Amino acid sequence: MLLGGFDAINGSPFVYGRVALPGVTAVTEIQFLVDTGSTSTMLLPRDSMRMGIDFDALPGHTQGSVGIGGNAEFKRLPALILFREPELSVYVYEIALAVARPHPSIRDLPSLLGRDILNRWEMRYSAPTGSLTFEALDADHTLLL
Amino acid sequence: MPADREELLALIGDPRELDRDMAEFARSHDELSAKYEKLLKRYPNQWIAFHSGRVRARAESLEALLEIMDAKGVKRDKAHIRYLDPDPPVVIL
Repeated sequence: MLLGGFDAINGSPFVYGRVALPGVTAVTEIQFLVDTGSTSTMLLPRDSMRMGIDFDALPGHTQGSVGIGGNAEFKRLPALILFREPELSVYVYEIALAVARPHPSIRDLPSLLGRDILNRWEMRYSAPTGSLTFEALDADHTLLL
Repeated sequence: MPADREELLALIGDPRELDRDMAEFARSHDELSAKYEKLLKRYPNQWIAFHSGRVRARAESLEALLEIMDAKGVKRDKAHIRYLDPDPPVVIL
């Protein structure tokens, strides 16, 4: 079982993961906002800048995304997203990660865990009890600890 | 993308180390959460980097914070970075 939680600071549902970007040799821990409304998992500037990613230097073409709060630009990068089942397993997902162009309006937002990964999990969400757990129904790679 | 297990491990490192690192990252977030209100009063409208129970760097902008972190040797991949906003916006994604 993967353990998520509710952020004590703002109440957001989250899960910890690790992002590895083979093309730019960057790896870091990320606190993902669990976002069932998001089509795609997206790295936002607070995390991409922490990883030293220069958006303009990334390969690929810039695409647009639409949200209630406004529009954002992003590029897609091949990435490995990792999640741990404490002391048991590490689940690895190979995705085309969306990396958002830095902009002041989204600078302090958390990165988003979207349906490209969430649709491969079963989620139990209980804010009243503070419990958020996931069963990884499949993964591209599973490593036993 | 990795063609086999060896290539995968070369990209992600030792899974047991990853397990420990992520547990530490989660603990660090718990510590940040416990101290958040106090930090908000002490450093309003500033960016902070928090790791191992304390603020390791702070600055007026994210760019400046990252520069200070690098100068102080604070590991970017392990720190929690937050903007301490006394009046946080409503977030509708």
